[in-house]
Amino acid sequence: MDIQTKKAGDVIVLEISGRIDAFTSEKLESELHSIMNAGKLKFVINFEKTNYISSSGLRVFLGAHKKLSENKGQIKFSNMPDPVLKVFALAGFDKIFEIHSTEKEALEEFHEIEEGFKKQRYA
Amino acid sequence: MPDTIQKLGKLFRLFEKPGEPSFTVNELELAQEIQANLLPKSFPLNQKIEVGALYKASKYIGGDFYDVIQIDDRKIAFVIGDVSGKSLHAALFMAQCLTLLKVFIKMDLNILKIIEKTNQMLFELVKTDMFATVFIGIYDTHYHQLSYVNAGHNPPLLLRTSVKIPAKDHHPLTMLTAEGIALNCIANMILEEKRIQLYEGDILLLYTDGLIDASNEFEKEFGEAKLKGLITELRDLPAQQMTQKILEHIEGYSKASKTTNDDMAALVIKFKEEK
Repeated sequence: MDIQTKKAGDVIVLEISGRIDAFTSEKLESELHSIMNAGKLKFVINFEKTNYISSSGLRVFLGAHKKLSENKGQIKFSNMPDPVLKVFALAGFDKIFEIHSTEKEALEEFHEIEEGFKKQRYA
Repeated sequence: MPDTIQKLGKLFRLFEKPGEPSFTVNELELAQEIQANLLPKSFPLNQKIEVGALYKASKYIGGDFYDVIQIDDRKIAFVIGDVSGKSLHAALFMAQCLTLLKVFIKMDLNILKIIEKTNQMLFELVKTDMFATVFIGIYDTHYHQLSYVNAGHNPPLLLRTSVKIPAKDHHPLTMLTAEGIALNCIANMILEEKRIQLYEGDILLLYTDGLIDASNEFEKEFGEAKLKGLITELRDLPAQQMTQKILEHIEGYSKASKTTNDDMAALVIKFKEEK
């Protein structure tokens, strides 16, 4: 498993390639934790190059989701290949997380929330 | 002796994580014993059902669980589940889940309530990012009906072997799917209850994802299709032999794999003729 991290404004995008299983999910967990501990609250996970995810991988995202929700942060997903989407859907995680078809769409969603928030504040 | 030392070293490393306390062999053996005692050694109502079970933990103690619980002289519950993560913490979370489920099943609550109450208790009491996928089926031996809920677990497989089945129910292999979400994810469960008519000769396979996720040397998973083929092929064997053969087959498939197998658990239930 390999993780590429980039910034898109105040959103952190993680591109994960390879397998997210019981053994590699620890690396993913510590990467996410260190970014969250640096105060980042918005994440997009791009799964385009992910070929497998196990329940250990889902656990990492559930943990991040719970922690981010407490601090008004959010994690969104994009570019999920069918086998990955199947694992998310089986555990019912598609009802907890926002899953977008593209990274751009997920980022735009964050942007729209931000814009809506600004409009509300200055209305 | 060097072999033993090597094994002990392996055992220590398995549960060591930076920043977390490591556990002694005695503690791990105790946890293993506690876990083994949670799983049933014999199965009830054997004049009506025949049960076979398999359990293979990936790291000495596992996060998978199963149970067969007699509710009264007519109803019996089948449970299978999988806790995310692999550590003593996962094993403890598994024990909490199974204990709560057992209590609520024994209270003869409605099947939806069993899951809802377990989820509520876990969500309030257990502050962890772990979650558990669970399938529960309650079989009414009088009406031969199985009510079930599926909280994000792999859908069990139902194999029909009798030809004397009404045409509307005659699907040789059915997957017991139902809308649901794993336990300890959200406060209010999203869940659907389903019911199915069972017939003499039906075989139900409840299993965890370790069975289908086991991969070979080319990193190709065993998969659902092969498992379906395998139970169809083994259908005439007694339930316990079926589970043994399933395990042997999957271990054979994955013996050259570069990745370690996940926990594996399964229950095979054969529904007998009414005597």
